Amino acid sequence: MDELPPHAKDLLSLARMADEPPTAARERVRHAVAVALTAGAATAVGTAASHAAASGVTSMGAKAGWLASTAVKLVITGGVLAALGTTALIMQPTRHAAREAAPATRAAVQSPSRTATQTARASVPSQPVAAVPVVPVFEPSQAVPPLAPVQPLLHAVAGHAHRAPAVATAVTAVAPEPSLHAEMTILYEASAALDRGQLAQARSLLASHRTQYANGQLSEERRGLEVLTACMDHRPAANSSARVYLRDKPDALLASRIALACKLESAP
Amino acid sequence: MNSSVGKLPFDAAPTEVLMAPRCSFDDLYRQHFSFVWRNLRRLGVPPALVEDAAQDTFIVVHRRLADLHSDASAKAWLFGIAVRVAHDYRRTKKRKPTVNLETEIALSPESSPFDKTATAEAGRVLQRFLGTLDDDKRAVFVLAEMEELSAPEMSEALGVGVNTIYSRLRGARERFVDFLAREGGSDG
Repeated sequence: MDELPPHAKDLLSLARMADEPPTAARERVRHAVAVALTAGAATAVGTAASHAAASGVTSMGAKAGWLASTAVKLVITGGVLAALGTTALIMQPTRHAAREAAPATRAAVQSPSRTATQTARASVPSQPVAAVPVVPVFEPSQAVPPLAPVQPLLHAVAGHAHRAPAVATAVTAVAPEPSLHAEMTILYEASAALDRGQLAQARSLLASHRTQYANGQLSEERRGLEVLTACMDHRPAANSSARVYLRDKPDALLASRIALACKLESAP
Repeated sequence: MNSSVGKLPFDAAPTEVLMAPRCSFDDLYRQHFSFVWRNLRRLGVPPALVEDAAQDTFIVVHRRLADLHSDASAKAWLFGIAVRVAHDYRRTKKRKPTVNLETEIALSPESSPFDKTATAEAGRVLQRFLGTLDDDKRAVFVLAEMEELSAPEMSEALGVGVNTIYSRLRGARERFVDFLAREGGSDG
């Protein structure tokens, strides 16, 4: 058969429209990918740094740092000791962690009334924390109205396909994209600098990100890296900053590493 | 876990990818997000998992961006990745759904209830049909009939010869016509 008959083509024309992604999904996935990629770079950094801080090691080679990060990660993720020794297995928890983070983002988008305060109430550590202004975790980019239940209507589909160029209505408006790529590049480089123990370089890159993208799409990830950097650098205010961060973002991918690096008793 | 997906270079140095001069991740995402999304669904990823699968697909895309040659079809390359991710998801349907996409359909706000109903039903018919095909025929049918890729592009995406593409497409079309006849969709 070289070509489909008209009625089959008509049905496929309609079916194309049904498969288009919701506009909100485009934004959610983009953010989740960015978070996953950024956290993927930062995970080993934060964990290795945390282990170094906890054990008092001041200088650590790349190999030792990787082993330390693997060991700590495995303890955190349930002690799967058999996983030692493979890069794939250090990346896998990271991917799952990112996937776990994405629903949190989605939940926040779909529940705009949920604030950092409410999130913190559910999982805040028992220690007292400093009072800070409350801000929404994520603002919804747009409301998604619920759709009424649909009924089977195959015969109507066949008739409907002849009456309108329906494909045109499937086009979804796409907003211009800010430079997520550039943001990721800066944060990756900052993470790499942390991995090398180059704290000044990391601070410089994070400051650059703050200057260029004060309210960028990865500003929360930058904030987490800033707190982590401060903890690694033993800055005086690092501990209180970490407590505030963990209160605001208990589900952040960097949360457990920050808690370790800052020697806080309760990681989210 | 699908072994083929596991072999992908998730541990590639991100900076190497970010510095790739030929293609921007942002551009790929902007231009092809819809393509990836709809084809993950067509390749059998359950609705509630399409968002996660799209995320995984673009993470792989990011890692492998340097593999995309300027003379290659981006769609063919993306589809090849999506096929592997979809295969992984079909094998692990027990994963916890993270969002109920049944409440989100990307029709324009001006669409009438009739439009929405008819479109949704057409989508369901297509999904039922695709579910009857094997992986090979399904991929060819989706690329040819839904995405209108050329035979060479399909050949590149699926890694098989053009003659095989035509053979699979012929078989899939015949099955589609038979399926519609059984479903009662051919009498409109």
